[in-house]
Amino acid sequence: MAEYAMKRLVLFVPTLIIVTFMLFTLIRILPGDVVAMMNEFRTTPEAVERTRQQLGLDKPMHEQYITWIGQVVQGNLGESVWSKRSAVAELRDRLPATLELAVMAMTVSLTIAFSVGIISALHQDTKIDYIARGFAIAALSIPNFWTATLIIVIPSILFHKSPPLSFTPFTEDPVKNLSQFILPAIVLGINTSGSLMRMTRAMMLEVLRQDYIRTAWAKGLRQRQVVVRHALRNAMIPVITIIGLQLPLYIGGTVIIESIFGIPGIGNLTLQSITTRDLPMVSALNLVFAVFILGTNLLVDMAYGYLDPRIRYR
Amino acid sequence: MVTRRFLVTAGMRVGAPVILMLAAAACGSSASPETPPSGGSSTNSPAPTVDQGAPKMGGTLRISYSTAFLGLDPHKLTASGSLTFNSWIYPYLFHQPVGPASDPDDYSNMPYAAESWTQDNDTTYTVRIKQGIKWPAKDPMNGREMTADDVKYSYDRLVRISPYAPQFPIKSTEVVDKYTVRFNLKDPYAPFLQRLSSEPGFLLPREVEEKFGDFTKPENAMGNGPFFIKDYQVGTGGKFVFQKNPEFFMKDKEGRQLPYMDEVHYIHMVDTSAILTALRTAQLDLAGVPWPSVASIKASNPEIKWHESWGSGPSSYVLRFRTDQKPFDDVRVRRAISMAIDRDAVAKTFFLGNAVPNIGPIGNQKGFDHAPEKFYGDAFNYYKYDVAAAKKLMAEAGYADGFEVPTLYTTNFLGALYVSQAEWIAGQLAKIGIKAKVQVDEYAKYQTSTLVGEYNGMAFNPTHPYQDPDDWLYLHYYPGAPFDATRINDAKLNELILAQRKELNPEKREKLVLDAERRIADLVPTIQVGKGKSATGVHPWVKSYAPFSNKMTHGNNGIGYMQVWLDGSPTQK
Repeated sequence: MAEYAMKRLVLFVPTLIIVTFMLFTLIRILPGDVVAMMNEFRTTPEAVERTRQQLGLDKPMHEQYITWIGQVVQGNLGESVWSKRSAVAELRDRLPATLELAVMAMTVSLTIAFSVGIISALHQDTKIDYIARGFAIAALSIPNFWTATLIIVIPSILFHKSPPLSFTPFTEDPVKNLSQFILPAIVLGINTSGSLMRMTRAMMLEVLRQDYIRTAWAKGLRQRQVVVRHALRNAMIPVITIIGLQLPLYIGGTVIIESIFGIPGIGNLTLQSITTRDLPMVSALNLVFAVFILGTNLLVDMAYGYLDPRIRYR
Repeated sequence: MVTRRFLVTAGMRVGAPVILMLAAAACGSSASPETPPSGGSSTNSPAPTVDQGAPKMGGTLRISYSTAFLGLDPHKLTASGSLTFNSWIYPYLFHQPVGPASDPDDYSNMPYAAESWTQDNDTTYTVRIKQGIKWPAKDPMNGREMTADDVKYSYDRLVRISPYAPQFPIKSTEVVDKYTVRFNLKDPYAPFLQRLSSEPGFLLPREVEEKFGDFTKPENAMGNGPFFIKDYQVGTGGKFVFQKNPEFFMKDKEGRQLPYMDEVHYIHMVDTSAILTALRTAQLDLAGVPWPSVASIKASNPEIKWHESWGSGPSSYVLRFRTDQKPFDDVRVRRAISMAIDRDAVAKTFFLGNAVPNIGPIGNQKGFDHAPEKFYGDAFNYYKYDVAAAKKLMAEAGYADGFEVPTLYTTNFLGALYVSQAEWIAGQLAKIGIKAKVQVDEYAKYQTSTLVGEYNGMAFNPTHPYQDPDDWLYLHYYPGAPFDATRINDAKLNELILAQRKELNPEKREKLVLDAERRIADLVPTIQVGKGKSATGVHPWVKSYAPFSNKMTHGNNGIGYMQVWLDGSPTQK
């Protein structure tokens, strides 16, 4: 497995280069010139050209990319063309909130998905199963922004209560911080638990029908031992795959949830950077996303070998 | 980048004769252009009671902002968020009257950092600043006194690099003595004094640029305005914490140090539901509320007080035509489109009746007790809803069967209401055979294309708020100006635009502006769809808040809130 991991890590670099170059180029060829945006009223070609030179945008695309790569290697991810804040400082400010939300939401999602999925599988075609499956469909179908809006609006009308809608760092006031994050974590977690729960149920049903499970029952093992030690582990591989696919959503796909609950995360930063054509920020964020996705994919692949020792890597 | 600035049709040097005359001449009606409105001679709600007791010191005001933070250098950016924040940090030479005791339509200049001024001739203004105004007592200014050199530095820099430079035609700024500066203009320029009380005429310390390169970072925003930035966190849910400047140079009439509040928290919120929830649960002390939500908040929170304001200038959303392209090069087509739009329906549908139709670009400021048809003459007919007459005009222009054209507008960046209006307009045009295919542009693309006239056919744009009619006339209708999105290039209109810029006599200038307004109404290069009233919900502990949004370009925010105080706020101990 170590050899496999090393091979994958070696492939990291060319993959990163390809992905970041594609995204680096894409944002720069989109309509909407940041130089024109910055110069709004000024129409003199000299002023526009001066701005373009200051931002390094007068150079050919590949030169710009090479310059950027050189800076990245030295730990410099650039700075915002608008606010002059370094990309590292922005990420340092925003990542903790995003990671906190991601961890909490994932915890909620996995807890619901596994418990409901297992219970549903064990009580197949009973009332419990139908309720659980109905819940999964609802979780999948109902948009999380609708749920989020209801969750803050209805209590505010009926009880004049709502979670804090401005951000307080955990280090400053843990109680206020958690009271802000708990609801968005639940909303996000429920939303992503639907597909996980359905996959868990499906895989558990398949595994529970296997001969070795029948043998385990026949040996007189308790239900908990059969389900957790024997069945669940074997059912996890496709579920882990889905978890791996969902992880990037927690990092960059929560723009609306962040907007509703007032969480200064990466999602909003990404949207704002693209909207304002903040090219260095977009490039820095793309790098972060690419590293994260490649890393989670690698971890997911490694997990297969842990879950099923029969899997060998070449 | 957001450039939402509210139009303030400013008066002349002192008083507001142009505004009053414009208001008397322009039209407006809550029903239809030909029907005089019922009741009220003011476009603004009655000023709230002035007698709210003696101001109490302390407390934290919590308000929200929704635009992205793009830095704080007032000469490099026009983003509304930046201008708003700068107005808390840096003073101008003058400011306009604000507060519940002020007339919402009084645009006269009041001393701010300036003590007095004189106009020496048509192109020369001499301003004397107050003595004893100190910069912050920290590096690099170390508490030194503000002098005329700072004024010269600020305006030299503005003219050199600011996007607003075309609206500050200063040939040179000279220091006369330690506290006196002289502005020498290139030509007579009627709105000049108004410029000295508006963005980006902030007074800045040279040392910050010398040490840090510019004023972009909040850490480098060191001014002698009413507040300074104590802390900040960018991003949704993050906030800018403004703390009152204990060395601020202004006091109220009773000698109390201004501002009254200890802190102002500007919280970044972009979701309307979140903003309204925060208002309901007193996490915000005040907030603008869309009309469809006002009744709901009144029901759930009857304690919240309401302030309504027409703002200033024309409607927020304007339909524009490329008058150099077929079929919009034919004025009959433009007039037909204007007549096909039911402005009363706009008011009822999108503003629940809290809107009035506009005709001209300058707009009405107060009073609907006049006869618009008399002012606009035959052009008035082009603004009456008359589908039959519109079809007749289309037929005369050779388009009896209509035509197809894309309509460009920006994204939900400006709100769902804006997008809905564009779709609604497309539906109206279908009645006269025009198939308008609505096309959404991302804001960045819109700003670098549609906004500056790079579009085909028609565009539905937001408008910019300004301090003076010249901003509207020159920037939007003069050939080659930054926002000349219609390419109208009418010789008579051009002449009027240039003449009103240079005419220093208020009455004569007023006539020129009104003539330009009439000319534009006749040519129909743009169509104002409707001017809506804004509603602000304010918790009862916020005192001395006034609907001063008439003059509240983002750059006047700081001076406006300077005289607000809190009594019984949850943030007061």
